[in-house]
Amino acid sequence: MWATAADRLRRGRRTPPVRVLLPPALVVALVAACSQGSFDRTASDTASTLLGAAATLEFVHAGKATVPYGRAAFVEYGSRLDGVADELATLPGAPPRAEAQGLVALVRAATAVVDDPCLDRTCDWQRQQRILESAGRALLAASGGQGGG
Amino acid sequence: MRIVTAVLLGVLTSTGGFLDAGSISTAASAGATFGLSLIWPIVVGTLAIILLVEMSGRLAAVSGKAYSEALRERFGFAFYLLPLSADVISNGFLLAAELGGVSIGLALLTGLDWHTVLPVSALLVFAMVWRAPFGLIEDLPSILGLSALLFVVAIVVQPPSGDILQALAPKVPGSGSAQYLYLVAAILGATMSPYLVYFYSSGAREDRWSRRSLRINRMTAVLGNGFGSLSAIGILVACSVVLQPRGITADSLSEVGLSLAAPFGQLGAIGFGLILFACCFGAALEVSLAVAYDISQGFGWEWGEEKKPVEAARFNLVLIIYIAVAFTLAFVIGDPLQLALFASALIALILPVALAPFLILMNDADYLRDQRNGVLTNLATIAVVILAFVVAAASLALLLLTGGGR
Repeated sequence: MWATAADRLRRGRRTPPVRVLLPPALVVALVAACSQGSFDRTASDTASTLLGAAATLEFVHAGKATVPYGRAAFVEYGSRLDGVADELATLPGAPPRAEAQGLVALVRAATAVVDDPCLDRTCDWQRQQRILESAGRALLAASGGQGGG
Repeated sequence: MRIVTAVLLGVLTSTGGFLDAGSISTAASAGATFGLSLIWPIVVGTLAIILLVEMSGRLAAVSGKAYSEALRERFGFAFYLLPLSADVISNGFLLAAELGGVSIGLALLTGLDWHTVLPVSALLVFAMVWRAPFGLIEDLPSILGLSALLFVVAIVVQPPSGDILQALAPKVPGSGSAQYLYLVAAILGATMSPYLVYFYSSGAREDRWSRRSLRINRMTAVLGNGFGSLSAIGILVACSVVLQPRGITADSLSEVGLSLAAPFGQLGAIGFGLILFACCFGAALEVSLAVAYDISQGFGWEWGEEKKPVEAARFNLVLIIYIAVAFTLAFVIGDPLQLALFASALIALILPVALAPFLILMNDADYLRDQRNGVLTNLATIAVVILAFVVAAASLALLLLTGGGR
């Protein structure tokens, strides 16, 4: 029995076939490649999230979306903004320091709104909407306004 | 009654299979970023999946074997390992995206945090595949999935400024062409998902299809996928009308819902939550079952949704493990929309492995007898396989170039 196992090992039978290892290896390489962010990409994604948040706020107050929709949507937007303000200025392709810091400040203010959105009439939702819009527009411009068209 | 049941199988594969987290994400991203110019890959992908689904149903009805059973038998276990392992991995990401989609759908209806709802979604999917009869798995999501028609109505209520027919001609934009091509590959990957083929042929076996089912097979392949395709085009158009002018590129599922809220108000917002839940729930059932079918049929284990868990123990064990792994992926990675886009591009990468064997199987007299492919069907299949190779080669390069299309 031992001899058989050793023979198999020598013949390389114990090694999983390439066709089994190839797909996982490819996925690991792709995940690694896709997790590398660039400034343009992150700024463009964040702009979309912030502009989406501004539209959601407007829709909830215009009666076009329900409050539960707004609440759940802002949780999703919040998780997309996790860590963005901390990494934005350090990403490859980021603009000069002063400009980058200005964008970071806008993102921080917008993130605070997303974390605590005004979904009823007891607070100034229009001010929040302006913060989200201006941060979103600034990021879109900084990213080169990618988006085809 | 049998006809109605059979047609429902087609509707299920269109709502849960055609319209799922992958196709919703790719169509929404395409519409919000590039307007109407990416309708053509949906149309091309639909024609291809109609052909593939029809062939897999015909194979099951005539030979009494599901596609993966025939694959393993005709090409041997060593060959079968390649499509099997590729399928298990890509579908793992897709199932994670579907679970996330179910959770966000429920969250948008209830106002809860989708992370909190995620375990409930996984349990719901598990409960259905564990004990529900195949008939219920067919019927429930297909009825709920009809709500996706709201996106088609949205085209009428809020028509786009461009001509939809003109958008059928492929036209690569000057800027952002890498992202455009990435979305083409992802749309084709999402539309021509091999799991749909595996599930459909195994479903035909569960429903005990025979030669008498051939006409129904053709009907459901065309009607079911046609319905799914219309809804996907509706999503693309709605996002191009509502989101693109606002600079929103549909990077999250909640953003996509705004495209229905704009024309229909709260009804649209609630409708989107329901559509997302129904389509992703149906697809989660299909993906998890398709993988359990593939593995069990490949290893020659007992399988079947109609069997008690103890009678098909390993089939059910695979289901449990697979759902648990996908749940973990969804929990750790989060962001279902990005997961779905990535899974769609990954599926595009493995398309040739899963689809090329059709050319040999569908011309094998031992399986198909007098129902082998004709010249035209063979030519169409060759075109689909060539397309699959092109898409696979392009998606690898584009995944790396665009960093996941973002």
